[in-house]
Amino acid sequence: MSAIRALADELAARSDSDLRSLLSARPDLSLPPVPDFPALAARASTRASLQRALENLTEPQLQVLEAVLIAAEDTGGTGVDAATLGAVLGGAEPPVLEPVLAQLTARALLQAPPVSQVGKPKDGATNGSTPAGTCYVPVGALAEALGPYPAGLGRPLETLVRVLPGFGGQLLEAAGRVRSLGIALGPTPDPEAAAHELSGAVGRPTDWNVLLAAAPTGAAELLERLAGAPVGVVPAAARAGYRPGPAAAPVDWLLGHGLLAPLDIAHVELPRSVGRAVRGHRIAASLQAAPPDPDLRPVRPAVRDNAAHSAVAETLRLVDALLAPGGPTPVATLRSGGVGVREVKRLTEALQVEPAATPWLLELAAGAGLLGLDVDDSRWKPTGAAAAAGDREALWLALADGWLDLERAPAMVGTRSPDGATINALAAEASRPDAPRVRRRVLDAAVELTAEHDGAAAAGIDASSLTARLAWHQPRLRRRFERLVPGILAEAEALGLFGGGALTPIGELVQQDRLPEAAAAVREALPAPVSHFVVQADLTAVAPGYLDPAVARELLLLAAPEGRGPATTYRFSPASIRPALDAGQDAKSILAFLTRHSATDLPQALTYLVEDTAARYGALRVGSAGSYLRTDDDAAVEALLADPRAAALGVVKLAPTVVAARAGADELTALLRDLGYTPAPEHPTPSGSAPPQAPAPPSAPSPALPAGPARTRSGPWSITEEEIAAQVVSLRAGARQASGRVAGPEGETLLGLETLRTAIRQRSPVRLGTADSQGNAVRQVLVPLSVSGGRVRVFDPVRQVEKVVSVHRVMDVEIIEGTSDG
Amino acid sequence: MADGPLIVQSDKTLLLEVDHPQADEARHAIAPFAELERAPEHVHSYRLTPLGLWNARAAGLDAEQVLDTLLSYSRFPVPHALLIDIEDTMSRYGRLRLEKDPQHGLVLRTTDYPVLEEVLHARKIAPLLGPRIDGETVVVHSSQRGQLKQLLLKLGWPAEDLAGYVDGTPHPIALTEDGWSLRPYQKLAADSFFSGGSGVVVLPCGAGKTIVGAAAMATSQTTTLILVTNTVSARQWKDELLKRTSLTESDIGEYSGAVKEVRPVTIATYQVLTTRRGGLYPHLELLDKNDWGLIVYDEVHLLPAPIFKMTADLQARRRLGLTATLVREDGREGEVFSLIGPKRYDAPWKDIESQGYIAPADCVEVRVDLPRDERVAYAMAEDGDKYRLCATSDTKSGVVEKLAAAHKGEQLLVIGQYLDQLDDLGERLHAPVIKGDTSVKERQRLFAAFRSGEISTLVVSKVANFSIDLPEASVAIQVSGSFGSRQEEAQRLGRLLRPKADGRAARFYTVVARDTLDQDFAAKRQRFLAEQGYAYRILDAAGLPG
Repeated sequence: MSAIRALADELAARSDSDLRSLLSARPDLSLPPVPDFPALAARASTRASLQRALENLTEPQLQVLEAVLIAAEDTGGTGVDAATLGAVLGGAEPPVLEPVLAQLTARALLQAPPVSQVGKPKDGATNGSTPAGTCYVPVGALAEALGPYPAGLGRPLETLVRVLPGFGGQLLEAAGRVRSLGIALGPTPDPEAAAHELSGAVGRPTDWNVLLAAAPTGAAELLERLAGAPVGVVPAAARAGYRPGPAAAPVDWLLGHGLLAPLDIAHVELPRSVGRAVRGHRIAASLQAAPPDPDLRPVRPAVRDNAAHSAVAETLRLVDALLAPGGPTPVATLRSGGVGVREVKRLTEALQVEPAATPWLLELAAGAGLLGLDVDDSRWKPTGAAAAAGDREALWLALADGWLDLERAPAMVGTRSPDGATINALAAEASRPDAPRVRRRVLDAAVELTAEHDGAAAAGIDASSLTARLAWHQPRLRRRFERLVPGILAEAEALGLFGGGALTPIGELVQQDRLPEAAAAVREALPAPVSHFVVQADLTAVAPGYLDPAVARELLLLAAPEGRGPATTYRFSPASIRPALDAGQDAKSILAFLTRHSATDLPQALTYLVEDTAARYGALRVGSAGSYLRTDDDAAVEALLADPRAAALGVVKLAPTVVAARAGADELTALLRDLGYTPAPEHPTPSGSAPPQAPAPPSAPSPALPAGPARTRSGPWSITEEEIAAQVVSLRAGARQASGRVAGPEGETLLGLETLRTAIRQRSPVRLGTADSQGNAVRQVLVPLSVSGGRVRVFDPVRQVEKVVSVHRVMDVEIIEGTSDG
Repeated sequence: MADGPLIVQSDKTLLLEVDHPQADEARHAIAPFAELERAPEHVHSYRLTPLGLWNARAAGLDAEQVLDTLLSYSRFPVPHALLIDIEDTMSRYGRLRLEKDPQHGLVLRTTDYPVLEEVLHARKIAPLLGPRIDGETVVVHSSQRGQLKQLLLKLGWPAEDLAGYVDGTPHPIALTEDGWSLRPYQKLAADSFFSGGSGVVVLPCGAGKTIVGAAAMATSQTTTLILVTNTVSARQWKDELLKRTSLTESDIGEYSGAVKEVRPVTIATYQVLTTRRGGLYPHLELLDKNDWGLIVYDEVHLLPAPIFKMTADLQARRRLGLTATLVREDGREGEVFSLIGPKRYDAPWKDIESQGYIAPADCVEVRVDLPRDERVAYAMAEDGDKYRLCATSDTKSGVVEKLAAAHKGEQLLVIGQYLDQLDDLGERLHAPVIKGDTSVKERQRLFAAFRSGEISTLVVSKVANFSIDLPEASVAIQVSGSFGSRQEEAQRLGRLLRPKADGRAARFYTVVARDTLDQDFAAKRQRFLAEQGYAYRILDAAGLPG
């Protein structure tokens, strides 16, 4: 019976509740639904599904599972019982192991064949008194899913002999050397036998001790080091050969006696049997049945709350500053995606923050949907959701909510991706779809650790104790935790979920998914907004706290903000007041606003500054006009203004003898002629003051009028009737064909991209005109595969290769008809 | 949330609301570690700097006390990163100590081996050090004590100097408090200086810094070298010392361009010390000529750069710096701190004013409109000439005349930068002009006549910016200045701050040409005074009476 068949039968025999628990523990088994048990068993035995299941095992579960896998190989696949396992797992008792074994069986990672076929444990020492229990075997592809080094042990010598060329010969020599130490080995006619015999000898404590005693000093330490991680780097691992002698280096001696396998020039592997021997003839020194005791430092609740509340206030202030109208947005993106270093630097300067804070703020705001990418110009802009969020409580809620579900790791920004490039803010490289799950786990583990901590002080949880706890729960994800947890903790601190390293009440509420209550707690924690400020004679206004946004908006029109922190100082200067005047305010309204919100009397110097600036505002006025009229004849101006057509031309009287019009000079001229005047067109002279010209005779052609359309053909812009007709036909024929001259380079690119996308959809080849690096035009028939990030991936059917073409090198694109989906 | 008077900002400033009932308490609590930066009328701002925190450590304060102070007086949560930063910064102090070793002389000792390694590998520091005694100790060339301290400070590992001071030659000096007595803040300043060893005392002009110097000398009871800015100031110091202490004429020597006397108390000018002849400083040996027990630097904000270097070699002697404004236009405040010593005493001007020790002052800016032709000339002038053009506008002279007429009968000073302008004003006001080429004798005669009331108006150039004691001057009119120099503005106001016999307020006018560089510079200059709480009123010249 095949393994899958057996599993299918076992599953079929399970009760409904057992099945339900299996399916809830391994949800991927029924997504999408499976038709029958064999299918379920088959899916449960696939490598992908097993790996997912392994990720959710705790440290003891994984230890037991790995031990079963390794021990079952000893027994030749007949299975392992709890007692045998206990012997190889640091003497763990069956009562400890049985539940774990049951859990693993419930998850269909182990099978317990109904007929007990207990394999003989090799030592036979521990098994005598224990009653033979249920025997467990690992399910199908488990060995593959666990990888080549289960339990951190190397591959068996038998395997190494097979996969390492040349190792067999060395092993035969090694067997000879081992024999010469007085260790009895069976016959070793071939490398496989030598491997088997050596493994056996290593596994016998007496023989192992003989070997150790013969080894040169230093060998034992080397073995210890490799016992944790089986592959090690040593200089010149693949050596010419071992020369016996007292001066032999430990590595050489171990290699020469088959206790190490040379992988390549610089790496060696500790074979499984040797690793177990080094671990005291066990698979693991002990079973980590309980999570590691964390090293928590006490944090005073006052310190925790102070840190959290100041962090929340600061984060909210910075997000506000980032999104404020007139703030540093929009943010441009690079063609390769993400926000470039220079742009980040600009924002950092505008926000006056540490350089590392800027990418985080961008990611946070984008994650909460407060910043959105405008696809038209590839710039991140405030979406208006921030304004909709209104108060700080709502803003915090939006940020926290967005952060929890953010499938990105903002802390990865600035680090290097595997290909060596620095990861940019908001770039695809910082995307981590597992980040939300890890965040939840971090909060869960923090709650767990906090609950275990006793004492009046809060528990200061650092990244290492948190990672240790998470790794106990999910050892297979250790690396992921190590990479992500420090960043997540820092982010959680910025949102006030942690403070001074300790989980805050806000964080606990978030962990329980009580976000609105957490937001209410944030509101409680934040100082109430103030609506007044203190104006001083050094021409500053200090808002002693978080200034009511409505007041702050108005004050920002008057004064430039300075300083970072809970209170902002606003400095007045003539330049800072100008925006308010531009916005239509005058000295009276400005002073009224300041008096209303100032907690103190306005200093005379400020009153003077406002009045003086306002009084002299607008001494020069600028507007735009299409044409003007100047004359010495007031009556003509009045007549023009009185005519109803004047309004349509946008005529405005600037002075008794000067009129400006929105309309152009020719229209104004025509109207004046209609009114019976004879206006003379005027050209600005270089000196700027044109002398009044004598009225020109009415019949003279006005030089200001554009020359009529040229009747003769000349110049590059001309076009014939036939050409126009042909153009219309080709347009009617559809947009498939991008013909020569279109509006401009931008239009061309868009059309080209459109054509490319069409071709990708239709899978039809195109004739692509590109410019090579020398600027020469190249035309090729290619099949476009995808377009993104300014690059086109194409398949070259002639050379049968895929390549990438930059969009900016594409000159034209033409779909080749009739060959689609060929 | 506590409703404290302090707002702790993440940019390392502290805002103190002075009208808060706890404000005084909080001010005293933060003063040891935070630098007062601005003291306008309602909200004072202090800054946390590494230097300030290290000074606090030197004075025996630890990080926990600092954090407690911040947390207990702060109105809002204190940024956590700031707290960590403070802890971190303060922990850097004292890992290196300068000590006297009976066997090896001056040594640098550490409790933290890697720090010493880092220091030993700094390229600039290595040459200052002698042989290494053991893992934690290295010999220091005693002449390099100052420079080493300065470089260590720059490196961020300030050394705790436990090597002490040389005693100097004893010389009896006592204060003769007959008819006057040391004011409380003067005593406090002298005491805090002496308990700190070396350092700077910051007091407003007219608050009696000379007496703080005399009090320090009386405590020290040793020979003293006093460095001052100019000869007139040297004479004033001498007069003051004769009046306030038991020192006699024969005890005090003047070491200046004119006279070269070395006596138990010697007053030397910066200028004579920095005179160079053939690439050497011939008068520099004065510093070593006597076993000075105390060196006093008057107007330490003006200390010329070469003196910095010399001072670096004087670390074994007690040093007292005196100034009204620790604002250096060259931004070298840090060097003053590391070479002379940290700030030992500072008081907001307004505090001393409210105690009645300096006169209240009313600052008025008078804006004049340039006439059309001057505006055009100004607009078309080269950049380099613009300030001169607007600052010396003729229209200002008319305004000065009006103001002088309005204050007829009061002791009036007219202060300016440009000599032509001053000469012109002297003629118009029928007043003598004191400028750089006026002899010391003539200056002293004129100042004496002004003090006695014989002359009621003086026109002075920048020679009178500092250290000239004119107690009865009650009105000053500033017509032009050294561009945007803030400390000049403060010094000029300082001329007026001696308390008046009748308790009158002083009046300080600045005449400024509207819409020109003059106005921009005036704004910059006034900022310092505004930050000291001296509010300017602004008047239009057209609105002046008369």
